[in-house]
Amino acid sequence: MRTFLCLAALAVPLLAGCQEMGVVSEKSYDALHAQNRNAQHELARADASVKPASPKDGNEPVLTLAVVEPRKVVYTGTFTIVVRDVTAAQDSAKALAEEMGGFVQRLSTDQIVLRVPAEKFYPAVAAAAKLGWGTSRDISTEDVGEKYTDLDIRIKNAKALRDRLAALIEKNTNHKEVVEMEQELSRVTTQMEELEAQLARLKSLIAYATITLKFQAQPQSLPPELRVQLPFGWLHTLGLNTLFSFSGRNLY
Amino acid sequence: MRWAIIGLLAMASTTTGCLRNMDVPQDFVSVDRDDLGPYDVRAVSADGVVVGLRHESNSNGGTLAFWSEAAANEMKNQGYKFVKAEEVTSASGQAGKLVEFTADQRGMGFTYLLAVYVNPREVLLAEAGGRADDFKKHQDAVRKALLSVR
Repeated sequence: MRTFLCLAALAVPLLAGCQEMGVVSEKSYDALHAQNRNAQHELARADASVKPASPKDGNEPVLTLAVVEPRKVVYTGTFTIVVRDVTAAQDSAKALAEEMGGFVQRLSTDQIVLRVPAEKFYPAVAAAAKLGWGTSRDISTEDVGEKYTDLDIRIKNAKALRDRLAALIEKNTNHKEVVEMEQELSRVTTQMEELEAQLARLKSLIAYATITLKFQAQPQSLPPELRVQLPFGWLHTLGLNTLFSFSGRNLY
Repeated sequence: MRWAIIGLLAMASTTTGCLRNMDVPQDFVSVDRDDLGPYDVRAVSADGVVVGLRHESNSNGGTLAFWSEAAANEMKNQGYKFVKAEEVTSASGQAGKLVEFTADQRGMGFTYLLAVYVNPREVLLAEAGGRADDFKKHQDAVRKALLSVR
């Protein structure tokens, strides 16, 4: 069964290529990709059902460990924090990200977007919470394993198709057919590059979690040196800013 | 005897701050649980006036005079203009202080009301705020709610 599926997975693109003189339309490319993907998934399922050989002559069975791919997850968090000094809070957030091996993706007037290694997501969230008084939080995790596999397969198929087209162009002496094949090659190459860019973006999102911190400043009247600042953090969160803050947005 | 014990327990719970509740003013609606934020109770009117009740630890043993003055000074530090303060008593018999401020934010005038209640374990803070004109329409209902803290 496994042998048949292996041959099927390899034969499908070749068979599709023999149908016409190397010119592959977009429709047949998508059909090709769907067939190839199904065959590869079938192959993976067949692999999972293979049982290890039973021991002979009293020999111990050879243990084979299944290789489990780590989950591919995208971590995202958005937090609203009331602070006394937005610039100082942004500097602290930047330092926090860099200490954890991350970086600042974007910085604006009252917001900063941090990227930290995925395994540091929750420690970074806990550290960011200490920058001020959090008034809202939103954390999401997305399992993108299937999306990743799909992109990977599509890129491999596109590369195989590109290589096949290039080989056919080299052998063909018919000028009109060569021109058509070159147009198709250009389209496939562009599509492959787009897919590679999508996969690169996905890899980046998986490797580095995204944390958006929105800071709200309290209005200040007296210069800092004239203000009494008691050491009770919650006092600084009294007022309309916190009262009007709902799920990361302000009523006014 | 049984009712005496229940009565004593009820009194003990109010003085030790086990209950943190406040009436929702007339024409206000309580927000969803996800929108409570740091508040135990939070409600809004259709025109954007908000009331909220929150609590903080009083492990430092501060008095009503201490916390109400600390809160008032904090609001002045933030640029709020002090209007008036009055001694009040909540519906459950707790002594408190009700302080009124005005503030200018984003070119609009706002009214901010803060009621502070203190017991040995907690500081209870009932806040209300909104655009000055809108707040005036709900003033009586909001005041009643801030005094219903229990």
